[in-house]
Amino acid sequence: MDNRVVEFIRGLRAAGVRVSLAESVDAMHAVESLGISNKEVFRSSLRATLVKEHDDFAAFEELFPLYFGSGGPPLQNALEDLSPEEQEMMQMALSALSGRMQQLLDWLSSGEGPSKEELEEMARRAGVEWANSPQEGQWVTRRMLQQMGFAHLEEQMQQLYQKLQEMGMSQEAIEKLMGVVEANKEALAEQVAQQVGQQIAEQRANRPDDLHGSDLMNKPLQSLTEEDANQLRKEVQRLVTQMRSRAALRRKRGNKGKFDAKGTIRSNLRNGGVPIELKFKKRSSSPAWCSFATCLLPCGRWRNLCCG
Amino acid sequence: MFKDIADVRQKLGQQQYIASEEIGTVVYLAHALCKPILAEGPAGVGKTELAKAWALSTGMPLIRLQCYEGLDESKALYEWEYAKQMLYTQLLRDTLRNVLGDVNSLAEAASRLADEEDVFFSENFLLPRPLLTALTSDEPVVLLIDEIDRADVEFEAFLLEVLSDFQVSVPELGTIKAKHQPMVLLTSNNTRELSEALKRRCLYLHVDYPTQDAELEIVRLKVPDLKPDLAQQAVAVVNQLRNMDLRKMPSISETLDWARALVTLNAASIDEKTLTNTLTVLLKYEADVQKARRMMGGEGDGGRYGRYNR
Repeated sequence: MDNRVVEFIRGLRAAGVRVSLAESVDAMHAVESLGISNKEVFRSSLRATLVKEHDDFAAFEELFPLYFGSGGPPLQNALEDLSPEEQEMMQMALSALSGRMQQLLDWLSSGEGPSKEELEEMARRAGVEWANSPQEGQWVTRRMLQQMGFAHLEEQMQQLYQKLQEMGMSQEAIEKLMGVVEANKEALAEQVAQQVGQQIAEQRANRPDDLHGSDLMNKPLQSLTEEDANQLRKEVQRLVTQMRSRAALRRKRGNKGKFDAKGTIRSNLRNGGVPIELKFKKRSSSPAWCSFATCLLPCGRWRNLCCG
Repeated sequence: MFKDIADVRQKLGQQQYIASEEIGTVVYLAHALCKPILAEGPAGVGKTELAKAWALSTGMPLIRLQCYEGLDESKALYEWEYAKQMLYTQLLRDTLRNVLGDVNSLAEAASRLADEEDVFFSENFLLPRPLLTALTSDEPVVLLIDEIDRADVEFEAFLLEVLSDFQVSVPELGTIKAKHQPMVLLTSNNTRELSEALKRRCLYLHVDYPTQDAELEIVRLKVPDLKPDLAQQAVAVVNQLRNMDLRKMPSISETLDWARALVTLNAASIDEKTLTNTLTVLLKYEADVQKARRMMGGEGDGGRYGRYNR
């Protein structure tokens, strides 16, 4: 579990959440103290120790189910309630199906599901390494499910239903079997989505810092892609937060400014050099970003970037 | 102190504070890991109340430090009692004369006086402020550092030593270590970002507006005299107001004030007149009040509050 938490922290960092070593240690202590039996408590304890910004909660909530499961029901074994004869009938009916569908229905009825390696292989074939965002992850998931044969599943289940009826399996047993397979279908789709999401998060964690590696700094605003714009939005948001903090700090020297030695000497010449009036250098009160914004205004996209 | 999270929630509940599972977890962890809590969230959602309930539920005294712009060590930590020092020097004039009686030069007198200065810079003349009181208390206390975002950044930096090592340095006396580690709750209304270093030392708790059901429970608990159907109606109105684009959202404390106002006015139902008369308890800006009146009157015939402006 410790390894999983460490991987999760790496995932958080890759998603832009700042987690220090001290905070990771706190998270480990919290898990040690509260255990992992209650998922909600486990989630709260990780969030209280790792995430210190309300804005980062979204990233946490997105990643947590990927690393620690979304709490959906696991795959069930549909065959355990069947008698040995009925199990044999099921095997025969399955063997009549084509290879891919046989495999899928086998996963769904036995409750075993594909192994981690099999899932990874399928994800690789579906192009998971090119996916960067949750939206692209959904696309990869859809492709994986297609590969598994989900598109023809309904049809095949109908066929299986008829075949089992022909073989003489009781109506009640067939209904029950199909019910479990139907529930397993949902669970398997969720498992696949979770695997894809986790793989994307891990890839993101292993990739070097996007912003500094990219040429975003030198790109003209007109040629920004949607992804670049999203990245810029994030940066602008960060800058705005920093500026808001700085404006709110209203430091004491902000009111008075720094002592201006030259100005004081100059203005006190009329007093025979006795420093009666003290002069202070005032800092400009208008933040730098006004001019920054003005120069970008003609581009029109600045507003879009700021307001999202 | 607390057996488990359920125990935390139950004990806070006994003090009329309805704690969510998250709040329970964080308070439990604060005890288990001996860490301060940083509670952030909009004003009036019960961050300060949490500290009060925490202190009452554990039987620990509550020491409060209200932060504001310009707050410095002398107001937060300690101050030398100059008046007392002056008074003592006057009263001890004769003793001082005996000590300095046989000196021949000013330098010798000054040096002999310097040898005795420890007397005047001892704990007798130290005026402890909230932080020092919390550290030197003979029993564990709950220390509430309220609205830390209002304090200057220098003060925040100064707090780091207190929050990580639970000790402070007084140049004349040396380092004073806490006798018992206080349970610390810092609150912030998020008007500015706090430093990373401060956040790293704390457990983070974000307290937001409660759900409609939770708020109804709070209203029933705190204002038991309000009729149940009226309470439900009042909470629904407040929730509807929070969904609007207002300058200042009504907080839980304002919901409670409104509920008390309704009880005081003996309101039978929330009709147009009552709403018009009491809306200012919930909303504190004229523009917000106007907007709310327009919205509640302008929902059309099918609108929930449309009938009030007919």
